[in-house]
Amino acid sequence: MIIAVSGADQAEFPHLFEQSSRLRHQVFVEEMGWEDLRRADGREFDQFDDEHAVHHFCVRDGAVVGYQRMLPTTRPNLLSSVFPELCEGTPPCSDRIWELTRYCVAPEHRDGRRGVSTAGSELIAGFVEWGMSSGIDNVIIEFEPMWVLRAMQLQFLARPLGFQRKIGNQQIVATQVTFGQRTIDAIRAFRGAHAPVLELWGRLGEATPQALAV
Amino acid sequence: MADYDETLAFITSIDDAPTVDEVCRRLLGLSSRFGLTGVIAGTMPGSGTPPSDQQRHILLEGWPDGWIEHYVQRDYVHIDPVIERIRSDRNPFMWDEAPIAPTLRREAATMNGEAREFGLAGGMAVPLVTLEGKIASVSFGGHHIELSPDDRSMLALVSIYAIGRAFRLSRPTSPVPTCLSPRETEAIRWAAIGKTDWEISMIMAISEHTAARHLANAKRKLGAANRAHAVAEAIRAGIVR
Repeated sequence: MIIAVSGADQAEFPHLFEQSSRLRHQVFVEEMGWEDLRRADGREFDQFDDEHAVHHFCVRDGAVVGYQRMLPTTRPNLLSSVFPELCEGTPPCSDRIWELTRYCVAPEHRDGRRGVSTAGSELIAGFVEWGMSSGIDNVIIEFEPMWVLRAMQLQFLARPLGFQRKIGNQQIVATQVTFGQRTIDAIRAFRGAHAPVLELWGRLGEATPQALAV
Repeated sequence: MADYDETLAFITSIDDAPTVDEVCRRLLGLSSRFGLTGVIAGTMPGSGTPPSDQQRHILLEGWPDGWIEHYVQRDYVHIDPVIERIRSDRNPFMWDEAPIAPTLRREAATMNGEAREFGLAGGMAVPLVTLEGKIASVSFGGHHIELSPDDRSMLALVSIYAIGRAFRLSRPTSPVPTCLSPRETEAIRWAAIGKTDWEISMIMAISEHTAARHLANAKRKLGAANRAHAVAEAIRAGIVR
């Protein structure tokens, strides 16, 4: 299950945010070496964890085992503020384009060998379902170039926003991916699971889904 | 520095290519500028794969005539240091950067000599891992190679789009057919040429409310966020031509 929670509701769901900040520290600081983010208390958060962010938690038996954070491109985001060198033109800025950041899966849940794990593909299904129910059909992601192949295998339309550069110990390319019904169909076929994975909690669950309005 | 707009145009043209042969031709059109006149892409056969099965792993091939047959016949996949490095590296590398196992030095030297006779004096390999965790790669080769580090990363990026396109063309995931009713189909076709709900209601001799409902249903079935997106999805699905 993927639980989507607005950053404005952080105080309502302290458990989810506590666990995800530890997972983020474990993956991005300890594993990937983003030393700028290191904190003594082992909890990672940054200037974008405000009320405008939307957090997606992949939960198994009550524990957060995977995570991603969606940021509106109409506000400062990673690409526009932190990695402008990854973008050759003007960074995208639209209600229909959000930025996906901090995608991660706990090491003990990486069952995909070299490929994409069950929790990892559930997160992908989660952001596509979330986008399709929120009037969003594009996401920008800063990832390793080989993710372009995986995105294409899942029927995303991918386009680079710039050239790849070395960040931390990885090559990273900023890419815009467009999705629709055939993307979610392909993700579900890959997962062998066709039921929706997304649940909207807090104020996100109360909002009228825009997709239903003509 | 490579030109971004030009790179994007190449990627778009490769992603639009109607056949795998055309993907190959367009990719070689770019790589040949750097002296890389041959290319092959596919997934890696497991070690011990019999020669008869190796060619089934190839997705896209533009090697000099006769080389692939020779390579398979000699079973070079098991001594080729480039193949070995593709299995263990995640970053693009030049062929001569792939270490040769001491026990295979003689065989590798023979293979390299023969490759040179076929016009493959050197090259670049781009290792990849598919969604399912299969190791794949795109490998370019040629005689006189001139490739700056920037050109290398640009070509590596374009080649990922090429293998992605080749995957799609060779194994089309059978899309779940979107079943619009005849009325929904008609409504979306009128919407595609710019008709408003009211105009559609007049053309189809139904109420404006019903016209809007047909469109809303079509939009939901197409997984679209709004009217323009629904039309775009309908075109992609072949409902509107």
